[in-house]
Amino acid sequence: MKSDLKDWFVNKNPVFTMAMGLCPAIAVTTNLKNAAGMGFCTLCVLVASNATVSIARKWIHYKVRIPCYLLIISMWVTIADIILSANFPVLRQNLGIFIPLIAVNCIILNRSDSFASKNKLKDSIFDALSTGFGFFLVLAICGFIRELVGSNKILGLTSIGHFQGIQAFSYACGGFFCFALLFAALNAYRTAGKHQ
Amino acid sequence: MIPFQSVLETFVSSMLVNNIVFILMIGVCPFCALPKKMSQSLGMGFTVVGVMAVAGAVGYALNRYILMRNNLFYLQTMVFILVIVIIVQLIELLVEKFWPSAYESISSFLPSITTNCAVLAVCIMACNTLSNHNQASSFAKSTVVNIGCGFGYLLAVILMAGIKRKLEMTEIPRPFKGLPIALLSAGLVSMAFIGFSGFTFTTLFGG
Repeated sequence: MKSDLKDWFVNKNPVFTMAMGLCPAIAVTTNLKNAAGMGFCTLCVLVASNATVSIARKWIHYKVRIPCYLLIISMWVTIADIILSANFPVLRQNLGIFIPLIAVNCIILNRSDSFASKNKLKDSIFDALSTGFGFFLVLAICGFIRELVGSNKILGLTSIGHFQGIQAFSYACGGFFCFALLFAALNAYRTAGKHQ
Repeated sequence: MIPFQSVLETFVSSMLVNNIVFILMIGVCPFCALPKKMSQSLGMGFTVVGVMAVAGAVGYALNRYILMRNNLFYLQTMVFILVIVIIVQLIELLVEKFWPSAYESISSFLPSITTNCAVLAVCIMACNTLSNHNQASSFAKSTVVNIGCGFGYLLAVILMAGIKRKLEMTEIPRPFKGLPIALLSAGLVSMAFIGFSGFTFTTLFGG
């Protein structure tokens, strides 16, 4: 279990290994709640669309596969959007335009094209779960860091004394910095592992 | 029609104040796969401007005359994605037929424009923020916003391509090589773009 977790986060993580899905990752991670919500939405859409693509893989012609995958993904995104606006209107308001933008998230299209279109339903679902969980973890960690540093809060509750937080981390640039530092830390960790 | 000043203000505000990449953080992913050559980055930027303008206009018309009349708001995402796919495909065909010398360089990045979040985001934003204005001006305004967003994207691409070229000649700590340093510099540029916030012509020239 522990090695699986490490595998999902470090070695197979879609954000860190392929630098994919950065836009939602940077944009919505201003606090932990939004980040986790976004990660969970992406995870659900990823699993559903991977399963659909895997079932329909025999009927999709190679030449029109990308538009077909995009349509399948956007169908699931639309369903997710409807469910969200019915049950979690506040979260949907916060995520705003990034919910429809899940449809063009490179991670989902990449998994559909390179995995689900060639593999059986069970494998595709497992692949989607592991990829989506990796993405979810990255978003949650980044959201946690940015909320803590940017406004000195954890899940909306003030954590340490009267410290106001570094405002820049709540802005766009904070997302860039946070991801740059995470990437660099991971790179350092990897190269350190190689030398041993 | 809309006075010239308001057109200019809308354009500048969507290009600089609400820069789609550095402030709204939409369309960041393609930066990591930005072409090495400046000329190719320029080509990609201008293609995005064109696709945004056309897709935004077509999407606006479809939204206004088909989706809104039949109460089919929730189909927006699917319809816009189809529109973008078709437009990109059309551009590919047209360039192949009429401008074969440029086809090779364009075909390398055209597929990535289909999944460029910025194009879809511009389509959605153009429809949702302006749907309550009156018809004629809001179509013109949304087109101006689309083109402004496109040029904002072009500006971001040019900036990042220039920064990447400078970075190649500097010595960077090993863990930061590649993507991390690019993200860090993007963060600094984005910080600079915050300086544009609150910018209007009235505050600048006093009306």
